[in-house]
Amino acid sequence: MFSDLAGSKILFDIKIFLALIASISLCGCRPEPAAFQPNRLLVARMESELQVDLSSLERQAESALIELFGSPDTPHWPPVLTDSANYSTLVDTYSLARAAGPVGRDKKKVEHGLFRKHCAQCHGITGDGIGPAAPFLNPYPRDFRRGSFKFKSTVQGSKPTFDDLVRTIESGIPGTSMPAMANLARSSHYENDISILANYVRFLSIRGEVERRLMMELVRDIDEEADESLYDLRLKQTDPEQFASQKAKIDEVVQRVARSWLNAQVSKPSFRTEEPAASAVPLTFSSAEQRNAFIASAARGRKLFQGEIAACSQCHGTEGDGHGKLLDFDEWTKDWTIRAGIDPKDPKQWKPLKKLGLLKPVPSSARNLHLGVFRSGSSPDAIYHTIVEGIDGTPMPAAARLPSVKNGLTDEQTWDLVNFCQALADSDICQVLEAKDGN
Amino acid sequence: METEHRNLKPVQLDQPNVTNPSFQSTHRWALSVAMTIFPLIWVGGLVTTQDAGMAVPDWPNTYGYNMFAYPISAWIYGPFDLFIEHGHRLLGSLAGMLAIGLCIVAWRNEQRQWLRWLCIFLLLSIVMQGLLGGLRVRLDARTLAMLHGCLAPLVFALAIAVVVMTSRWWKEEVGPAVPRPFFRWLAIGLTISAFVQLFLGAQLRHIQPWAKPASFTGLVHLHLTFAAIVSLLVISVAVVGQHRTNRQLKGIGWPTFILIALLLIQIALGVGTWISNYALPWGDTHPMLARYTIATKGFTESWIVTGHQATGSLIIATALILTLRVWRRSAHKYEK
Repeated sequence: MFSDLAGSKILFDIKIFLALIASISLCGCRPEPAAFQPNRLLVARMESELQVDLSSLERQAESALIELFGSPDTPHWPPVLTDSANYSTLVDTYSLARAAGPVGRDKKKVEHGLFRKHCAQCHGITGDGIGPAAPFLNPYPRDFRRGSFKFKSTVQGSKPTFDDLVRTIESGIPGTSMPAMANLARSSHYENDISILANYVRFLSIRGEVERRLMMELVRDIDEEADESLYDLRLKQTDPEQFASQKAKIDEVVQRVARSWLNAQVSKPSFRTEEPAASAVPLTFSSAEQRNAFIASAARGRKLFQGEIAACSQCHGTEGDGHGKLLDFDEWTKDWTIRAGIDPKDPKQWKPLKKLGLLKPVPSSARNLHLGVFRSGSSPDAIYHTIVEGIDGTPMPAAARLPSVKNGLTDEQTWDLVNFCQALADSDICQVLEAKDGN
Repeated sequence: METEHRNLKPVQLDQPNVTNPSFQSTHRWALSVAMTIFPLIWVGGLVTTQDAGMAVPDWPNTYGYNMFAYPISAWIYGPFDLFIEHGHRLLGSLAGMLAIGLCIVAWRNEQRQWLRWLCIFLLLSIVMQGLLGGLRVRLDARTLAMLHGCLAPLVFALAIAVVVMTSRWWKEEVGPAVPRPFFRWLAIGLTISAFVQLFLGAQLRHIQPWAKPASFTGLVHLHLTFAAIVSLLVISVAVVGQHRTNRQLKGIGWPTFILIALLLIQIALGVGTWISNYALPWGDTHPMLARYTIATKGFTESWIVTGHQATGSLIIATALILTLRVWRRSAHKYEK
């Protein structure tokens, strides 16, 4: 009787044993210490461009960054920015402490490790967009290190405002893996968490951009054969003057990056020439006159959409279904492919870089406007802003507009385009427009 | 072949009278332990889903209080992660206390020596799980959290085994035993595969944020491969269970049907878990997908993810019930 049960019991023991062995072998007994990862793709790009080995300078840049920004467990705001009241407003130290480190609560029940809890799985602990889950996501998670953000209220090329970051974190981005964290804001226990995360995103972005500029601006001019260095801590003792000069150059870069965040310029508020239609699909109108005016405007927008000045149809397709002729990549991909002389369409060229953290290059797909959902906001004002300012880092350009561009779009024409974009999501109005076009 | 079966001796049972109330009490205690461990697994899964493992930084105390003396108002009205982590600890303590009760009852009433020791082993497993959970907090080690999560279904399976072995069904007189080596090994294979699958899922859930994307990709592919293996095995046991030599066996059919149902639920929850965490990569193909925005730690999302993990434990437990029952009703070489 006992022997038939012995098999089952032995199986339990075997399973427990296997679980222990596998856990230890797959994960290791101790977790690795958290560290910001260097921008190896950028270094590889520069090495191929300059034809020199940059490993020593890369290490120096890394040690300067640790000195300036600390580690993922104990990050800090660079001393050069703490001295100025203006720069101190960019990132507050309380937020850094709460967002960084491992997930948990301290003895006072204050939660920390928010970035690892909510963001690092996709964005990576460095904010480089190469978190463990990144290869499965479409679009890929944002790499904050370029300092470039797609969804914002500021002018083209400008940094986002703090509220822009908060909005993206709070509302998420529909149709992507970026979740809405509004749940956190609803609970009194977590109400500050979103602004803490926005602060930390700004911190990671500034850190990443400083790293980038150190490599691209300072390293380029350093001649190692002439015994020059980027940041040599030994000089602190042997040649304090030289060390101070190195530090001043680095601090200048840090200040320049921080200034670009302070100077983020909000786009001029838009105005409508007529009463806005509801953004919901199907579109609703208060009167037949309003509907007719909207259709007339959308019909003009359709012509502009397919015309040469706006040239929207080149990417979005004649009917706005996203099937245009142009195939392009975003700036994050171009950074280490086209700019490094690598063809993103040729796997033989980019596959060797996979070990440096490269994700398979994916062409930017133009939006299918019939979906009626716009990632930077589906309200008429948000669509207007997207047309006027473009989407940073993507092939979506700012529209050619008067007065800066001769023969550019007028404001009324821009609103015609907005109305056409809205009309595309409404099949009834689309049919009316097609019929009008046929006539 | 059938004539050969008819000549086999019936299984000899050396058990006491099944209507004996003291015998039934052991079964009831075992059932109460198992029924406490399952919600414990749910809440434990929710702790991982909400990343609440370190919501209470001390152990065995809770913010300096004795675990059982922590103010109820601070627990109920505190942050949600603290609520579930402390609740998990209390529920774990309850499971431990019930297991102590089971051991006492089994020691007094149970005649099978090995079963008494199995109850002790169950108690020790629960204690070990508690210690492991405590160590996870004291050392703030995610690896231990993963181990804690992986061993939980084994403890649940052990409790289920005690339930099955103390049941009336286990002791009923049966007709001639039939050798069922294929069915037996299929059921064992399913139990082991289901556990490996759960282990892979735990690896995915507990992956470190600085892990390489290649590790995550490899784990996802392995998890999908084992999903296919488990599905195949569940279908196979269902088909073999319907074979004429097995169909008339009491207590074999329903676990196979439950396994099919659990498999379907589990596949749906698996897809749901992925969508809740990462959405689908075709967000620009259909208006419904284009409009979907994941809600961080949303109520539905949390329950889907936690349900996926808990259903994994149920599959292991049901596969084990099937394995034990097929084993019990099979003829073995030594019985011939």
